[in-house]
Amino acid sequence: MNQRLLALPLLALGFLMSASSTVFAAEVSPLKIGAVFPLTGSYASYGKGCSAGLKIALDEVNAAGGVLDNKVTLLSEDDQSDPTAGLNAAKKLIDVNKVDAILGTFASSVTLPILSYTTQIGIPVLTLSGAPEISQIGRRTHLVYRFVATEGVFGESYAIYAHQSGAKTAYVLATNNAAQLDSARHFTSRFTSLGGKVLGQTVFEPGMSSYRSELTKTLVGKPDIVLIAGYTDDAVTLTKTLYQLSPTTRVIGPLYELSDTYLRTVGPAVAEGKLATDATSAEGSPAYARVLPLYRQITGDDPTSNPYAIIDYDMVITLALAAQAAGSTDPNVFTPFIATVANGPGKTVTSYAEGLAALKAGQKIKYEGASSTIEFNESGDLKHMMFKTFLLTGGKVVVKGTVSP
Amino acid sequence: MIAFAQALANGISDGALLAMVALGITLVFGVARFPNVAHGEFLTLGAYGAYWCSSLLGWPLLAAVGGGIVLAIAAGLASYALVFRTVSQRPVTALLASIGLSILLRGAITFIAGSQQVSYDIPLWGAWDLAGLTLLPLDVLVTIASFVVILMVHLVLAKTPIGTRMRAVADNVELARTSGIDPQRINLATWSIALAVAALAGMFVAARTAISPDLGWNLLLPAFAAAVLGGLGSPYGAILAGLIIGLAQNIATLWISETYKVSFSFLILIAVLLIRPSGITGRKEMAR
Repeated sequence: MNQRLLALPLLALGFLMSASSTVFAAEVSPLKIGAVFPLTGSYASYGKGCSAGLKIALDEVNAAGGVLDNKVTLLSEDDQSDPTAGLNAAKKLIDVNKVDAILGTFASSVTLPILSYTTQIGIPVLTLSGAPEISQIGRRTHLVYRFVATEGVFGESYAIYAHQSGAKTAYVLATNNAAQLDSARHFTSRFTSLGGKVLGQTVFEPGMSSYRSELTKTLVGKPDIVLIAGYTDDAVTLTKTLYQLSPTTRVIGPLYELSDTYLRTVGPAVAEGKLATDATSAEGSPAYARVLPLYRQITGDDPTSNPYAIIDYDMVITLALAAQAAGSTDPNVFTPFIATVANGPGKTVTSYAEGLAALKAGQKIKYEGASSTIEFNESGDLKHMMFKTFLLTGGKVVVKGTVSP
Repeated sequence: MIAFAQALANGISDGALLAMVALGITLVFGVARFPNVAHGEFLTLGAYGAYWCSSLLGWPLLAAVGGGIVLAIAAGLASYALVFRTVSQRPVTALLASIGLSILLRGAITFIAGSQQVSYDIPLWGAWDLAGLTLLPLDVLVTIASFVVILMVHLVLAKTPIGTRMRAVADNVELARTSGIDPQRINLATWSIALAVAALAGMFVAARTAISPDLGWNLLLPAFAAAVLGGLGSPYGAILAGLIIGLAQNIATLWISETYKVSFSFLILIAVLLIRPSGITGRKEMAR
């Protein structure tokens, strides 16, 4: 027993020593990136494209000579669209594989537990999640960078698109979670400032077998449009009932909710006329033009249906440029450089090779990505992102235009 | 007034479904003496069974409904034979086993069917407007069907010899045995009826919404509340309590936010149990 008690502090000492030695070693070790994203579960449909985006970026970085003259390695883990599996995947990558950063985390429910771990040990996370809490964590720790618009900006994009579609009155149905409530709040203020009128809001619990009472309230004032700030499963139940109650009432929501999967589940009749928006890539940018054919070659698909794949590409390039600019693969050193190479000021670069050359020539750089111009505020949130608008019609999701919230 | 009538109508259609689920739970409790947490998964299996029969095999509606019932009964009786029969004398073990079975079945369903929702290919008719009261034809149909199922269970329990034996076994298994009733056979018959009702309830919920691996699980808590409120083991109590909870949840939304309507049903449960610890129709022995 005594021996065991003695062993504990010795063990701890050993850990400390090995930890400090890795910090030392990181000065010269090659950059290791860990990617955690959904390959199975509810968001699996996004995972395949994300793998492609990551691969294109990794090949580009290594073809240009890697970071600090070392090849970069990337290790991917499936988060199964599940918080526990996601946290375990991130821990495995950090503790076993010793990655220097985590990127690509998708659902907010998965990202938040991962952040509670990574922020304690100083590993940066580059995320695709929209939850508002992430801004607070970013402002406090400067260890998280969100490469996508917040859920609140999504809310503003619905407001603009609803207004464009001619709707004068709206009713808001929001899933009871922080992200969707934030989205609903931004929708209401933006729609009102555009001259529209929000007749009311009902917050609903997910997974219910009937939403009759919610929809009865929704339809009292006969709104032109109903925002469903939520996810596919509940949208199916809600819009099926709404279709029976009032088939002409229009519905708007995010494309990740009113998606192809949604269309397949409810069928073309119920889906007809639904409006959706989603963050979109910087389609006119040189980086996008370069990535597009490579992406098509790997997936046989178009990235318009999965802008997150293009964002994943930008994450790898930005991270590699940050480590190169910092002259170190130690996360404690290179993390602040993520904002430096993204925000500038400096020479505008649109590929890793361009950025590497400029950095080697002693210049400062500003990376303009394939997904957006990539500029962060003090919370690590993206400043600008374009949105695409969609219409579900004739059993298809049709692109209508773009909006800039 | 119209709002109240609307809440009543919505409550009856929600309540009829809850009553069916609670009825299944309470029937099993009557003979097996434990609350079966895996009951929800038999709803899900029934819903998927009918979907597979109609969409993949192209069976007509009634045959597909039969297919769903058969699948739920087969899976339920298999779990009875493999799990519940061996722990039948230990209610706490049986309860824990049913939690495990619930997780296992949901995992298996997700593995086979995937986590994405699917829908029955049934038409959605426009709503009827009766002087301001809005009724959905599909809901009305499902509600009528629910009451027909409940009535059929009542007829079996009250008017058939097997029903009399079921009630005898539920009342006192030793007395039933001395009267020459084989409790094993009655057990199987009761489980089968409960599973068939569960499968039908699953299909009815799926017709109104969509089918997903969580379909039954999402209904389990309010249905348990109804079964307890009605007095576990009492079929008529479960039916009544299902309707009460359905109505209360919908009427409550006239004054409180929808977010709290589920909690409201548990508030009723607590209030009733404070006054009548064995439920609305429960007898004293249930409280022992």
